[in-house]
Amino acid sequence: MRNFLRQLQRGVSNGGFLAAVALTLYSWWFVNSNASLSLSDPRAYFGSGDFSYHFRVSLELGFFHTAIPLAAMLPLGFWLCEEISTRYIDLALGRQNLRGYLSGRMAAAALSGALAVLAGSLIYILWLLLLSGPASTDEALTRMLAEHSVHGWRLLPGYFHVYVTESVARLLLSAMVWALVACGFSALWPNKAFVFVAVFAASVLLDALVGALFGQENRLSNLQVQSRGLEVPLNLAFLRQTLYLLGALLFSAFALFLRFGKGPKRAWQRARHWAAGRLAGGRARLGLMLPRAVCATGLGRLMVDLRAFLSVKTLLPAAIVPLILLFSGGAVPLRFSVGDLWLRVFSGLPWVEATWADVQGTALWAVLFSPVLLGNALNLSRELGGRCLSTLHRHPSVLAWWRGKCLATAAYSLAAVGVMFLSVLVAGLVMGARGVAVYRQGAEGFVSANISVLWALFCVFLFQTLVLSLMQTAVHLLTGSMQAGALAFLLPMMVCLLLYADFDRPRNGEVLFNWGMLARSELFSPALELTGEGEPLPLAAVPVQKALWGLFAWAAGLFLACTQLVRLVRVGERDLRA
Amino acid sequence: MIEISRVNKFYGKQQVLKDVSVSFRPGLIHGLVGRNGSGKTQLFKVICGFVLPDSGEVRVEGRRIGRERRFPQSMGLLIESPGFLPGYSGLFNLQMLAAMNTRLSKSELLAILGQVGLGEAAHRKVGKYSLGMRQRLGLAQALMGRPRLLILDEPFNGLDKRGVEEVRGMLRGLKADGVTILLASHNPEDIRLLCDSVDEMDAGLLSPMA
Repeated sequence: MRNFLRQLQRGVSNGGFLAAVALTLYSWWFVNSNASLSLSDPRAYFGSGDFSYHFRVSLELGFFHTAIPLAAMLPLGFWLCEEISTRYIDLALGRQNLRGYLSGRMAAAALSGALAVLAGSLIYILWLLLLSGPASTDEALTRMLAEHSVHGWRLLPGYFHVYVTESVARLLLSAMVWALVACGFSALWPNKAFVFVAVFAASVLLDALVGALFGQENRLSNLQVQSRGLEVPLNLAFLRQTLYLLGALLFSAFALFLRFGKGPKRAWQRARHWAAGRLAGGRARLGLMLPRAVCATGLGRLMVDLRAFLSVKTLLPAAIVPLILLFSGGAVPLRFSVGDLWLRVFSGLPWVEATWADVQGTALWAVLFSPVLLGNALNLSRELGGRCLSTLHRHPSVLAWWRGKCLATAAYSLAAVGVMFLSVLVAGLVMGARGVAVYRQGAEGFVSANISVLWALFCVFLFQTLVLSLMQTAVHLLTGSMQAGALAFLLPMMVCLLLYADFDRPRNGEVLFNWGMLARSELFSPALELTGEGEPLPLAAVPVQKALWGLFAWAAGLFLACTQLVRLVRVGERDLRA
Repeated sequence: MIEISRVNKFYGKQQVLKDVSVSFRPGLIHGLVGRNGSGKTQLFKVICGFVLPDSGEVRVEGRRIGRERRFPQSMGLLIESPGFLPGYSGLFNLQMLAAMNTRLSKSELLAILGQVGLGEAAHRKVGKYSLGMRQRLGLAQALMGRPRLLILDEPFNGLDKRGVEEVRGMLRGLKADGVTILLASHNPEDIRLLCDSVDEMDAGLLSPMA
């Protein structure tokens, strides 16, 4: 018990807990972020509606779907990564048994994730209680609302506190689910970047899968915050959430068994010995294969960097994630080409008709980029970490050393995008795709095979990836933090996408990242002539040529800036321990 | 010849090197002792060009480090725990590092691995190496290309008794070949048996030991 309390104390007294509280608070606040009055004169803004109105609107239109998994893992979801990398686990296991160690930490992780969400929610509720107006006196209206909602009597003024408690409890249950899932992923691969990306991706993909197989109302995101028309009665919702919690517990227990169990360990060792015996000869022959003349030259150093960056470990997720997105996007039409599948996965199609902040679309887009984000994080943390001690002095200058890393990052982005397209191509051919080109209606009204749209798609996606990778690289170098680098990759994209959803098509060129949304470009939305004023108004304001050149200029400019950034950082003076 | 004159280094308000001046003659083994956090590693990092001093200068073979050359020429380095690619073999890791600044063949690299006692583990993944084996690999990467200057910070960490003896013998051999070696160790026996001169670092101040 004392161990559990100590871990709980650790969970609620770190920066991750504060970040989780802030994220939860922002999710509640999200619906108000468009109204400048909410900040300039909160008393007037929140006083215009009663507590129940503001609470329901904030809950239903917040972005808890994305925020809860992230907030839940921040306080203590990475404990196993930290304890394995620092070898603290050896000290801890010398003082207590394995079962007590794991159960105490898992319970603390789940509880501290839930406490962070609770703290964020309580702050917002307190804020509303202080500023919002008195309860609505329109009894007929509230009674009608109560009668037509699955929440029933709990929405009535005298009982609204029950609804508030129930809503927060649902969020807490979800937070516990994702904290446990984070523990499970930590056991599978104790790497913070992997756990961060895996939990996020799992939250999106699980929703898509459950929605497709068991109905939209059973998605965890719907159980935690019920959407209109998909309401589930209270007892059923709690029961299903408990099933999710049980599933998360089983998953994490299984993952921990794979890591710590004697049986799996023995089987794994046997498999490794077998593989070592089979592969030893091959590996011995497989050298770096660099010509002697190239060694000790700039080209040789670059080739070494490329070899280090382009590992199977960093490229494998790039082959898998697009396939998951492809198959979780609903049924594939009977007649399709490889180009149709590429457009389905890489063009940002969930965004075509977005009229409100489409959180699910943003999340899917973020998942699509996650393999590159993860690969960059792994490569950069290794190169800027301990490996720096054995590579830095082999270069003529720090600038030359860093230029190699920037080039290798760009090459890695290119390779990862290539692998992503290739994996969808292979899947398409296996599924019986008819050719590569897409069939589109031309200006004359005839349908013809079109390949140029696919080139545009590839180039736009590649340049987007490059821009984000270079931003990640720059921030990782400047801060020395893998997490800050990952945020620099994710945040600009997500903020732009959320803004983008708020813009109607004619203005969508005003959002910077929108340049990459091929689905909203002129290729998919040709100009429309308005009969009233007789002036042509484009449905989409993004000419593809301009988008391509714009993204190219961004990528090139960022690359040049990034190579010079090392002048601002004293790399050798950092704590270089891996 | 390594000449360090009036070197100072601050991290915020903390001064980690205080007016350090010393000369290291070539072809000898120079020992550096001192408590944890006394500034030994910082001094090594200043000599190898990883850390630039706030004032003072470091000259290696007559060239000022950080100005005329960023890093000393022909230097082997083992500071803290150098990172390797855990998914690849020790030999492959050495091949990658060697290709950056030397032209060594595979057989030469295998010979170096044999010299540090990793001949049989050359094709094993570094991720499976023990602490002592990683230390040996760190030593091997420092020895590649026959450097004229060798900077070794606690090279005996994690080595067994036999490994310590082997490394000591190797260092004596390198000294006989004219290599200048800077060695930091907490073990008085290593210092006594190997070093021609010994300096002590205490809270950033360097003073010669009798």
